[in-house]
Amino acid sequence: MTKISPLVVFTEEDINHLKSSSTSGSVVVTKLIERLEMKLNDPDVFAHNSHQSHNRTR
Amino acid sequence: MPNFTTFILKVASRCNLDCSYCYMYKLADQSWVDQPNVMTSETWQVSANKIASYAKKHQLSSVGIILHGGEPLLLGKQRTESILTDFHSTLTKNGIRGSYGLQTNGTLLDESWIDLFHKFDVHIGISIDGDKDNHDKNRTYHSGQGSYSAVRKAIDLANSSPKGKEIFSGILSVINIESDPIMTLHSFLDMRVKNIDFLFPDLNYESIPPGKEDFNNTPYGDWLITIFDEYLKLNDPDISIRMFEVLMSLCLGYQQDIDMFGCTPIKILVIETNGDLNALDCLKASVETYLGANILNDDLECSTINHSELIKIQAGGYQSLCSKCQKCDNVSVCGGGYLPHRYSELQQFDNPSIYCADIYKLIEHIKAKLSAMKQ
Repeated sequence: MTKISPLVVFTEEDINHLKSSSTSGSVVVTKLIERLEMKLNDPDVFAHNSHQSHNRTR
Repeated sequence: MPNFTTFILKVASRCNLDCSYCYMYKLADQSWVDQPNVMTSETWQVSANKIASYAKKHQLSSVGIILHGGEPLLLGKQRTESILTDFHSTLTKNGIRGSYGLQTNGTLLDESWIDLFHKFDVHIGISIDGDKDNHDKNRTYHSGQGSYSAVRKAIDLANSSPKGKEIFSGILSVINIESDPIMTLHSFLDMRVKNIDFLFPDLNYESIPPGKEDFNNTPYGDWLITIFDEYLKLNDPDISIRMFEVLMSLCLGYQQDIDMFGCTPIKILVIETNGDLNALDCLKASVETYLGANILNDDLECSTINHSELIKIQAGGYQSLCSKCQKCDNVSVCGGGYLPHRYSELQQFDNPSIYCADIYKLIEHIKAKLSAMKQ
């Protein structure tokens, strides 16, 4: 996975703040960012998923 | 030309359901009529060998192999076991990892199918459109009888065993804006389904989606925004709604490799039941997708495929977008919307998606919600 220019920028501080908050969506978004960072930083782990997903297949 | 990384095998060209909106049978491309009912062993063996050679040549460590239809379970268990054995052996021999998927309407699924898919690590998706009333409006047998009860049994079966849970990758649901969005989401959660995706109906400027008589109306965007807010409110990391995860990821600057959103080229090649090579299958909603080549006679890199206008468009990514889309501030996220939804007779695919206003509104909403979560 590569990075593109973000439309919304989350800093480390924003993520830490969100982790400790009970805002609607806070858990969903922090977990999503964790997963994305993991894919970004350890591409080998996800190499077996390097094919494109098809919208008409789950 | 970007490499193909996902190969969709139309292992059965017929379906035991007669869904009203089906892109295979009900829309522009009617070539299914001339297809054999199921794929022969010769066709899938040649496919496996040519895909392996292609992957080796292009140094792809893995490829996506998707069994699709029609209804792929109509291939039968014995043939399905053979196709999976042949693909697994051919790809492994060549040092290529196959990632196997299958999308089914669920009506024929039983325990022995689940055992078979588990044996070969085939991840299956099931199509269901919400509760019984909503589902049975469109997803019927040829007799007109609704298929909900059979599909529910399949989902319950997949959820009831460790093997089923391991291979059941979730559901696909076509959006019906007349349904209650919150009830629709909760109907899936009540089935203990937590991996969900919502699909826009495969329509375009020639076949206007219900509620989209005015291009600027946003009934699909509004329907999805209601679900998005409920999803955030539930705040359960075990619930995955693919469309929202992909859009949020792109907003946050993480490229996603899916044919629906983002400006990534479409890297999918379809092998029809008789071996004909085709562009992305959902384009059948708009145009004929045959590329003029057949896997039994042609190489995966034959000039007929590479020079096909349809392949150039699907591989074009950002370059294939109309000027309005190229200038849009959300283009890196929506990627112009799904290619099949951009079609008009006059301008072919040189249009924004028919759902542009809906997607734009949804992305703006997601951006606002994400921004509000910052310090």
